[in-house]
Amino acid sequence: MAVVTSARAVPRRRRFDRSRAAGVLLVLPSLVYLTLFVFIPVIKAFATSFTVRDRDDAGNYTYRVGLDNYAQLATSDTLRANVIFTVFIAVTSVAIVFVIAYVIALALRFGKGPTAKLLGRIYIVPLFIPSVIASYAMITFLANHGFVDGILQAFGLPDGAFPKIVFDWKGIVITQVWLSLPFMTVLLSSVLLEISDSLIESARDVGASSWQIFRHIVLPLSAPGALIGVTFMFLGVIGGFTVPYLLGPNAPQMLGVSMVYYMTNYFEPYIASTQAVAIFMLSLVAAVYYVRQQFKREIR
Amino acid sequence: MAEVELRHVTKGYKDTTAVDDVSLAIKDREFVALLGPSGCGKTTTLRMLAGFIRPDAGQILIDGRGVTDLPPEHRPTAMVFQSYALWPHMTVADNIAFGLRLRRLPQAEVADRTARMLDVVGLPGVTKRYPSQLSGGQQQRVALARALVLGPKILLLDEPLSNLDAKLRVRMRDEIRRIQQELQITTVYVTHDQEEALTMADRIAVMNRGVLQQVGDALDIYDRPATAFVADFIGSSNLLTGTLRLAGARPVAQVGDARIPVEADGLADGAAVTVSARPEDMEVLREAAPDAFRLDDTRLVNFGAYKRLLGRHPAFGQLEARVPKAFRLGDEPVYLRFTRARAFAGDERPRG
Repeated sequence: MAVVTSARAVPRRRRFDRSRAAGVLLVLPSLVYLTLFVFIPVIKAFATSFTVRDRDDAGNYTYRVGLDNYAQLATSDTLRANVIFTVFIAVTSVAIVFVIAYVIALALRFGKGPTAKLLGRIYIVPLFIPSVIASYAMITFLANHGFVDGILQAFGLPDGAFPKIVFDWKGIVITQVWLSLPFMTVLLSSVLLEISDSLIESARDVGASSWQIFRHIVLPLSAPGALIGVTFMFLGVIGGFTVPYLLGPNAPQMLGVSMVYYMTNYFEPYIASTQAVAIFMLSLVAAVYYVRQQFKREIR
Repeated sequence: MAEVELRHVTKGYKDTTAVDDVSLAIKDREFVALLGPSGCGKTTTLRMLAGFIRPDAGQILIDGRGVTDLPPEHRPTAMVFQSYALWPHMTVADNIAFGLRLRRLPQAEVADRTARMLDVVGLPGVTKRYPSQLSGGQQQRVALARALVLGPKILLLDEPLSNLDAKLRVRMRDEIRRIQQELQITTVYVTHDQEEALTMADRIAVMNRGVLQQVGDALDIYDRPATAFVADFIGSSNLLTGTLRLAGARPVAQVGDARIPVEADGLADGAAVTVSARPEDMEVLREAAPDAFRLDDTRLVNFGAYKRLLGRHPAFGQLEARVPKAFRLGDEPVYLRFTRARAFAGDERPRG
């Protein structure tokens, strides 16, 4: 009896080992990739941000561990302004994109006319235009004496009355909105498509107006999906470089741009790393929020 | 008091007529079933009553008042949807109370009416749960409570039991009928299930391809079908196509070289007809007799309480007769006699 049992157990264990080995092999490439290109750099950046470089009278550098970089980030007017500016840009762009995308998604979901159909075809266009191209297009389009200014001046707008958009926060926001709109609209559209007609019809049946249906049925049912979109876009704008680099003002700067300047122009990798950690932390807030929403949803 | 009337209601889509000139008057407190196969226009008719679809032509009246142009939120109707359509982000209580809250009723009255309605549908004590935590039958009851809590004049049900298993379906059938009787509410019930229609409804309106075929109680529909479609759709029937002959003492249908005595009211001699005979109206004989037709390739299908005898006849094709469960097939031939057959105008079989 015992012999039979063990004879059976041996091949079973071997089979189990083989499938486990296959599992490890499948995970290995991505694990190596993540370790080399994500985990190690993140840890290095963290370590660098806690490294303080002192220069003595003889001009020699000494290194120690300390919080000086963070103190500088908090107290330096320029750096603090950069952090606030970054959050401001991210929140503003996300809010504007969310509202516009939601309106378009509602039109696509509930609209029936040819306008809705046309809208459904063209809103996707910016998705296929690289951000560098879009940024330069925005510059020629919105600059003072640019395309729009030119047209307005032809209609009598005095020279110099056109607001400063390019090389200003407005330029970043407009371009980010333009670039992120398709993604957010696609996402919200699919979220709204998931709400079945009968849920809306049953609300009408008990007497709800269009506004009441939106407020009590459509909005709460689309909220979980919408928050995913908001989180991802927030992350994208917080860490963005191309758009603020090409369209942003010289001061304040978004953290992505400022970080590169500190790294390459001012040769301050320690402050640059500290700013990287700041971006990371801001992203973390969004990520934690996202995970908590997902968790709540699963409990439901 | 709540009467409903459809007057020559028609609704077409691109290349089909979903509902074709339907007129139907429903009395106060009456339970009417709209019965038909899928695509027959019964759901479109119901949705026109609810106000979700506007008819192309015709009128809809509730208590004599035209409501054809009123949207659903302004009609005194309440609908129970096939998929229940409970709002997943609201608790049971919030689902039921939603319509009351929209009307800004006092909090106490909302709670009171919600609780009372849950009692009526036999589902107390689930107010705090979410729809996803309820079984299909319970969700159905909540949907019913949500429709009824506003005190509608007309209750509309769109295949409400089709998502439930067979046993539960039978129980909910009785429940819905009990609630309807208790609240004395005029009810229109859409179904493709003839058993539901026959057991629940005061009157049944049978539809096919957008056309109202017959309106009557269960006995009318079963015993005196108005069209070959009704004869075939309700219960089952042997359907044959032939020509009507009125020359003899009794009307007969000529099918191939065979003649079957038929009831043929108001049909002319030589008319192309569809002959319908129910399996229970077929007499099984063990020996040849006048008017009896010999069956070949006979076999029996057991239905538990009874059996069906199937066989072929050269002129009629396949025929079917209902026989007692003790019936056995021997080596000797079997003959069938039509004890009751009806002839309907038209030579097209209604199937498909």
